[in-house]
Amino acid sequence: MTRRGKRRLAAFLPVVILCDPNAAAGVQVQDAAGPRFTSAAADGGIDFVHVNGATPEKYLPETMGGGVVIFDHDGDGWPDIFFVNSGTLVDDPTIADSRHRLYRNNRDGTFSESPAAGDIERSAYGMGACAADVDNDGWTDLYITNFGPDTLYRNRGGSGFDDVTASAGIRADRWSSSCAFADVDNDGDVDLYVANYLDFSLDDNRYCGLLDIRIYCDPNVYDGVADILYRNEGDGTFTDVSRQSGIQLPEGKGLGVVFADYDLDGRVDAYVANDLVANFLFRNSGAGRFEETGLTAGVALGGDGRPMSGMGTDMADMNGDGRPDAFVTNMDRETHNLYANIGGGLFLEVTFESGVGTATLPYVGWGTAFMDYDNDRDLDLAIANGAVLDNIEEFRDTPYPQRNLLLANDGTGSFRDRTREAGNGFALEKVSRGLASGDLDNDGDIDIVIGNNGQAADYLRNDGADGHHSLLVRLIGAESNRNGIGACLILTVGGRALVRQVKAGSSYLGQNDTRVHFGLGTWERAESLQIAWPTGRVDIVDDIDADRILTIREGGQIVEQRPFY
Amino acid sequence: MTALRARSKRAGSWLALMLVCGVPAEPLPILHAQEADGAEVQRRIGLEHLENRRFGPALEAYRRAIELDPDNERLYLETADIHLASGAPAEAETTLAEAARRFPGSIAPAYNLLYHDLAELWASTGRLAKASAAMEAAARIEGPIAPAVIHKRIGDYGADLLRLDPALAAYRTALALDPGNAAVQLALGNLHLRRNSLGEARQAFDQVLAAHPDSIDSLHGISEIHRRRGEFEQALAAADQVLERVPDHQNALYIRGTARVRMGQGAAGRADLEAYAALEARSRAAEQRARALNAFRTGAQRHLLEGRNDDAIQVLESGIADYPDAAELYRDLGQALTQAGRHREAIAAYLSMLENGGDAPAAHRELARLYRTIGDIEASDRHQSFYEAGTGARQRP
Repeated sequence: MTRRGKRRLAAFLPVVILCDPNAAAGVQVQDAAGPRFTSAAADGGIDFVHVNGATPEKYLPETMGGGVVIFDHDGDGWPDIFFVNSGTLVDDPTIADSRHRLYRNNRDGTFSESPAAGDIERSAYGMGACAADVDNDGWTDLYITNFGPDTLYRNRGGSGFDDVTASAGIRADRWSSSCAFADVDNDGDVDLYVANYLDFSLDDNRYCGLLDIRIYCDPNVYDGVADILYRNEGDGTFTDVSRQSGIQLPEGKGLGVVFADYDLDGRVDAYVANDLVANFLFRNSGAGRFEETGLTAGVALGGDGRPMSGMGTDMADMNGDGRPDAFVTNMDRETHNLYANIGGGLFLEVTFESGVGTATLPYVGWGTAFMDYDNDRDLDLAIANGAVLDNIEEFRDTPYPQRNLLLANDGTGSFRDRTREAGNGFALEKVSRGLASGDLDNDGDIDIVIGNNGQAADYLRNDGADGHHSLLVRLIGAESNRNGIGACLILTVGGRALVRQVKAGSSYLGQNDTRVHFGLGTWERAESLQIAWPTGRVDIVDDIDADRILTIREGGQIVEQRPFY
Repeated sequence: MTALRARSKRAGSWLALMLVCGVPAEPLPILHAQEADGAEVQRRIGLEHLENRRFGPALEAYRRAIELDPDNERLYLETADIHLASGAPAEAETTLAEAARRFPGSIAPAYNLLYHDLAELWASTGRLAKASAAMEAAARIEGPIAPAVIHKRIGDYGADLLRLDPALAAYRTALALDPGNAAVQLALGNLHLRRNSLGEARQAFDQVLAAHPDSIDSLHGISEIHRRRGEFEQALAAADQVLERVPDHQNALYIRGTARVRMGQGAAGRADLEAYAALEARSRAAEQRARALNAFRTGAQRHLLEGRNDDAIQVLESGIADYPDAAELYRDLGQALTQAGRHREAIAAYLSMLENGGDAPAAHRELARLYRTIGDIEASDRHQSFYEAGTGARQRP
C-alpha cells in the first residue's frame, strides 16, 4: 500500500503544479441542502464564558479577546479545546472566574474540564494561544499570548503542564495577539512567531470618542510594535532572532499570523495580518532570513491600495491549483480580502470576483478558517464576526453582536454565502473573536469552536456532510518536527489533487486541529497521498479507503488507521 | 477599526427658514418678557434668542407661543428648526411628527427643507437609517430641495448602510430626474463597483468622463475595473491617466505598480510601489498624529468639564511628551493651567505654543491677560500690541 521515497521537495512540486485544478471539478460535487451546524456547547458540556473585564475607561485590550485552540493535549487521538480567558485589567487579574479553560474530549460528543487544566494559570490579561510539540517528546505544548508577559507551558506527558517560560528564554512582554509554530529553518524543531499589536499601556490609555461617548480607540492612535520570531534551539530554549531574521518591523500592528509555503520552495513563509497598516508577507529566503514581500506580492493592501484592518488570516489552496491562497478578515465596509496565489511569488486580489466581497461587506471579521465543511473536496470559509465597539449602537446603525459567516466554495474559488442554510449554529449573533476548526467528534466532518468576547463560547457541531466521504491524516515527524508542521500533503482523489499544508496557528488568536482533513466528495477511495515533509523527504501512500483516520509516521509507515466514529 | 464621526452642529439653516417661512430678515427689536402678550411676541422673543444661539430660551419662548396659538403650523416648523440648529434631531423629529399630526395633508414647502436638514443631521451622527427615513419624508413634499438631490442622498445613505439595492434604485431615480448629474453618475459607478457589476460601473464612469474628461475618480474607477478583471495593461493605462493629473495619487500608484509587476515590468512596478509606500507612510504618520492629538485634547477636555484640572493637565503634558511640537496641545495646556490658577506655567505653555507655530494672535491675547494677572504690565502691553497688530484690531474704527 505504501511507497517510500526520499526526494527533495523541489522535485516533488511539479506534481502539484501540473495537476489540473479543474479536471474533475464539479463532477463529484453535490450542492444539496448541505450540512447543518448545531449549536452544541451546552449539550457538549462547554460552559466557558470569556471575561473581558470591560470598564468605562475603554482599555483597548478589553474588546480584543479571546482565542481558542483545538489540540490533543492528552494524546488519546481526540481533539481537546483550550479557551483563553482575559480577566480584568484594573482589578485582581487572577480572579477565579476568569481562568483559562482546557476541555478534555470525552469521546462521546461531550467535554469536561481536564485535570491538567489546573496547571495553566492566567498570569496576565489573556489574548490567544497556539500549540505544538516544541521539544519533540510526543506531547503537545502550549503557548499563551497576553497583554503582558506571554507564557509557554510544557506538556508533562498528558497529565499536566509546567510553566517553562523563563527557562525557555521567552520574554515576550508586550501586547501579543496571535502566534504560530513552524520549523522555519528546517532543523527538525518548531520555531515560534508571536504577532504583537500596539504600543499600549494602561498608563497611556487615551480618550477617544466624543465628549459624551467614550469609545475604544482606533489603532491609529497608538504606535505599532514589532513582532517576535523565536528560534527553537532544540535544547528547551528559544532565542529571539527577530532582528537578524528580518521580521522586526516596528510599524506592524499584528493581529493574525499564519505560516505557509506560498512559493512552494520547501521553506515555510509567514503572513501577518496587520490592523490598518500593510499586511506583511515574510518570504523565507533560507539561512534564517526573511524578506518582506507583501506589497510586491499583492497581499499587503486592499485591492485598490488601501491598508485594511487586518484581524485574522488563513492560507490554503482554495482554487485547487496547488498554491496556498491568502485570506484576511477586516472591518465592516472594507470587505475581507481574498488573494489568489498566481505563482511566481504573486497574488491577485479576487475579493469581489470570488463573491467574498459583497458577502463580507457588513461584517467585522476576526477568526477564520479555510475548511471543507461539506466534504466536497474544496475549501470553504468560516468567519467569526462581531463589532469592536461595545457601544456602537449608540451612534451607528451597526449591531455589536453579529452573526458568523459560512461561505461555500464551488471548487473554483467562487464563494456563496450559505450561512442562513447552515443550521442554528450559524444563526447565533454574538461578539465573536477566535475561531478554530477541527473534527472534534472524529466523525469525518469539520466542527467549529468560537470564542466570544465577554460571552459564552460556542461549539458548532457539524451534523453530517451530505453523505460525502472524507479522510483525516495525522502526521508524526521523525527527522521533521514531531507534529509534521509545515508538511505538504497532496491527496489525489477522483483524478483531482487536493493540496493541504499542516499549520499550527492561524485564524485570530487561535489554532485549528493540526490533523489534515480531506473531503472526498462521493469518492470512496483516494488514489494516493503524497507527503512532503519539512526535511524534504517525500512519502507516498497509495489506495486509501475513505472515512478513516490515518496516522502516518515520517518514512511512510502507517502507524494506525481506524474508521470514523 | 471604527472612528466615531464628529457630531456637527447645524447652525446655517436659519436663513433658509426665513426664506421658506417668510420670516423677516431685518434685525428684530429687543423685546422683554413683560411685553409678551401674544404668540407673535413670544415668537419674536424666540427669534431673538435664536439669533444669539441661546437655544433653550428660544425653545421656551416658542413653547409659550404654541400654547397661545396651538393652530399655528409655522410655530411648530420653526420650533423644529431650532431643534435642528441646536443639534437635537430626535426633538426635531418629534416636533415635525406633532406638526404632521395636527396639520394632516399639509404641503408646506418648509417640511421639505426641514426633513432634508433633519436627515443630514441624523447622518452626521451616524444614524443613517433615520437619515434615510427623514430624507424619504422630504421627498414626499415639494420644496426648495431638488428631488434629484434628495434621491442622491437617499442613495448615499443606502450605500453607507450597505443596502445596495435600495441605494441603486435611489440613484437611478435621481438620474431620471437629472440625467446629466455627474455626482450621481459617479456615485452610481462606485456603487456598481461594490456590487462587482463591472460593466455597469464602467458605463457610469464613461458617462461622467464624457462630460468631465478630467474626473479623477472616474479614471481611477476604470483602472480599478481593469485591475479586478486582471486586465493589467488597461489598468495601467487608466492609472497613468490619473497620475498625469495627480502625480501623487496613492491608489493609482498602487494599481500601476501592481499592474507593472504582473506585466513583467518588475523594476518600474517596484518603483511605483516604493513611491506608494513612501506616500502611505507619510499619510499614515499624519493620520496617526491627528488621531493621537485629538485623543489627548478630547480626554483633557473631558477632565476639565468634570472639574479635574490636574488630570487634564497631566493628559496634555503626556501628549506633549509624545508630540513636543504640537502647538494645539500647548494651547489647551495653557487654558487648563489658567483655569487651575497656575498662571506662570500657563504663560510658559502659551510661549511654547508660539514657538511651535500656533495661532499667534490667540496666544498673544492670552499672554497679555496672564501677564496682567501676575502684574507684569510691560509684558502684558507688549503682547497686547502683538495681538492687536496680528488681528488688525488697532485699525478698527
